[in-house]
Amino acid sequence: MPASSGMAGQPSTEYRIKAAFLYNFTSFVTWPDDPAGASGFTLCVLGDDPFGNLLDKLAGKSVNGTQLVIRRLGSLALLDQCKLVFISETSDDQIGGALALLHELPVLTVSDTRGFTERGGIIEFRIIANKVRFDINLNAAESAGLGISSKLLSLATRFRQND
Amino acid sequence: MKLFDTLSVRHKLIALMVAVSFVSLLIASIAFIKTDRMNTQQVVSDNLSTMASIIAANSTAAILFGDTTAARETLGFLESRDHIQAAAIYNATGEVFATHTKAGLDMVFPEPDLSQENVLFWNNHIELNLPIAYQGETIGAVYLRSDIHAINQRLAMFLRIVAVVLVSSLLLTIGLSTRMSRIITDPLLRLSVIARQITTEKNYSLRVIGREKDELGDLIANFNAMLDEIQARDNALEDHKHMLEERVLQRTRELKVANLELESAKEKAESVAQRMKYHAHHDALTGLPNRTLLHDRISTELAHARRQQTNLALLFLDLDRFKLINDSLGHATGDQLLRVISRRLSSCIRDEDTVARLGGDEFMVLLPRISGSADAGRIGRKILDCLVDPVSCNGHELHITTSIGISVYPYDGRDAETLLKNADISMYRAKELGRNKVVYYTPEMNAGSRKQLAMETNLRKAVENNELQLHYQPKVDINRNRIVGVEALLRWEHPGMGYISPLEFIPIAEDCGLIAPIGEWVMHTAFSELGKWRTAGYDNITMAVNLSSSQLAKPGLENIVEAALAAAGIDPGMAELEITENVAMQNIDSAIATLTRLKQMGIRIAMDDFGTGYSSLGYLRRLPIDIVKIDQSFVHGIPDSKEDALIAQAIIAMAMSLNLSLVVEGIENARQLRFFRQQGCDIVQGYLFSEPVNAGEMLKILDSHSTPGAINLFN
Repeated sequence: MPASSGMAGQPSTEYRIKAAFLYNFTSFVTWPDDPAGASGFTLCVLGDDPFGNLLDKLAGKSVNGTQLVIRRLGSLALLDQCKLVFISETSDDQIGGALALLHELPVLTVSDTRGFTERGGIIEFRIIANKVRFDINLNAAESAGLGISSKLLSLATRFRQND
Repeated sequence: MKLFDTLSVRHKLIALMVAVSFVSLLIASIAFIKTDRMNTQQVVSDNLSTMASIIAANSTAAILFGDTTAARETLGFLESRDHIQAAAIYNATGEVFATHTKAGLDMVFPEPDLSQENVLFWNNHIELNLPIAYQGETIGAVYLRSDIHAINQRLAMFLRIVAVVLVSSLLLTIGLSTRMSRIITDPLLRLSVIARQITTEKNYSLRVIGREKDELGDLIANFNAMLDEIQARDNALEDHKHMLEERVLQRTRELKVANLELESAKEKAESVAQRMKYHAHHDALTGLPNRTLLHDRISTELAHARRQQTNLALLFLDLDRFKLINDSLGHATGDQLLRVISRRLSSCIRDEDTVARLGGDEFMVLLPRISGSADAGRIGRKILDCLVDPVSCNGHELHITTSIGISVYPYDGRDAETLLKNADISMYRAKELGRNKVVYYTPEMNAGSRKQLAMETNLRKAVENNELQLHYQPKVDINRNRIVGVEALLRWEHPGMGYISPLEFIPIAEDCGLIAPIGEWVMHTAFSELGKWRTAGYDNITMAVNLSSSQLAKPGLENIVEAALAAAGIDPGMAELEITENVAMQNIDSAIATLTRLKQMGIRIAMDDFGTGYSSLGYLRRLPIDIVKIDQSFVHGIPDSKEDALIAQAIIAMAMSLNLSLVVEGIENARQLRFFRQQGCDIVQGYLFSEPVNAGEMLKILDSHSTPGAINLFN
């Protein structure tokens, strides 16, 4: 599986695309207003970072009028501070806990772990015909209070609703 | 353009109207099509641009997430857009991301322009390139290609419509202008036809019919008015011709009758109107012109004098002591006396002079065309002489005298009123001076005499200082081509005033007694000069010397002449004395006696400026004249003036019939010479041959003509 080949050193083409997708998602998803008024848009990676330094290149870019901040988390402790969480495959065992923790919190959860959306994750990367695609769990997004653009929905290979 | 010139007016008008309508329609159509095409292109490109914007908006997510399927779906709706031939979406690197191509079209998509939107119009299609921007970044581009078949079809349809409109409007214009041009050409044609008809038929009663209210109507009206005028003139000419013919016939008849019963016929013919006119202009008592007629004649003669720059005199007469006669012997005697006086006055003036009765015992004499103030004085004195003989009236022997005042144009006034007034003033002056006098008007009684006095002084000095000179003008025999004589002419060259005419200073010399010494000097000088020429070998040349009236009147003239001839050793046969009519007429009887004695001495007498004076032919016959000189005033107008030619011919005929020699004066050109040669005149004098020259020059002329070869210079 090429998905794991990017684990060491240089990130693979797949993860270059996925990194870009992560950033692009922010344009098609709307977050509710943050009452805490937290400064910056925090993009977190839970577990091993398969993107190498790609995400660092994105840091400082503008998202919804605020600056993008990258955080790599080893535990679930600060997970609720994130706006977007990428849960890497290596944290498979942590997915259940993370999703439980983030239940109904306005955090966009993304992972390339198979069955992520079935388990309550919002976006799951998939490889179809050698191309990076994604599924969306619309119910999960709605219960998290996130708005997904129809444009994004139209690109999803599948999206789960009212199951 | 040459072809156009040969077209008729009507065809020109049609051509003009057709051209104007064609050009204006064409311009309008082109403008319309151009505008329409621009609008249509704008609409098409706007539509295309809108379409591209929709595609761009719908495909941003697909591009961002590299989803070509989704991108292709955004192009899906183009299937239903028949005119879209091809479409493409490019990603940020300019690679083709998704395409749509109309079935059957082989398409190679161009490189996109990611920097700006642009539209390219081709003959058959239009291309549009629109960059896709997302959050300030260009993430790709849309390319659309649409065929513009519809636009072209629309253009073709418009062209067809334009062609149809042009052709039909052309036909319509031709049809309309053919009819409308008649509006202009028909009146012209009518004019032309009538004009030609008039030219050929000479029928001026023809008229052009036209009810036009425009310029053509004016033209026709003016043409007709011109015809009216011509017809009227034609008729008038015809009438005039008839009238003339009739008049000629009538005149012929009248003449026949007149020859038989001239006097009675004349009296009968005199109409009442003529009599009334006569009465209006004549004094009932004496039959003389009255004040009205006198004023008429004065103004006529004044005008003439102004034009010709001649003199004119008014003599104001008032009979002395007439009132006494009237009061003592009664009005009847007075009236009879006035009638006699009137007759005497009329008889002692020239025909062209006017004697008028102003009323009472006042008369006015108008002397037109006199040669100077002196003439007026002479006539004044002549009038006094005419009244010397007593008048027998109703058994009374009445001695009557008159006082005369003279004013002369232009010296004493330039208008009738002033002249009359000044003549009147000077008449009173004559009364003051003791009656039976002639007095000239002068501003202070008088400025004229001051001038005369100055002239007298100058003249005395001139005699002393030898300012007087004699010049000689040759007389030429044109048959023999030789100089037969000369006329001595007195010249006065005043150092300050220049040349002074003898006409001016001779009367003064006569008045102040200088004429005697001057006359003698002239005679001696002229004859002694002739003596010199004789010595030089010119012994058959005559010398003519002019005589003034006082020279002629003074007794002993023949002694003076004889002495002068003897001193110079001249044969009296070589001497001629020239007198003017006026000189001879001053005292005709003594003149005849003196001239006869001179003639008996062998001297020849010439009558100068014949025809200009007062003399009648009767007097002329009594004068012992050998030669008549035709005055230059008649010669001047010849041969152009018929009147002058007739006078000259009459003088020539008279001279020939009286067996007198003739000399023509004042010949200035060859035409005059030819005329007189044809009339049989031999001896001529004038500038054509030589001006008056001094003695030395004269001798040179004689020398130059003594050789036979040089004589032809005269011709």
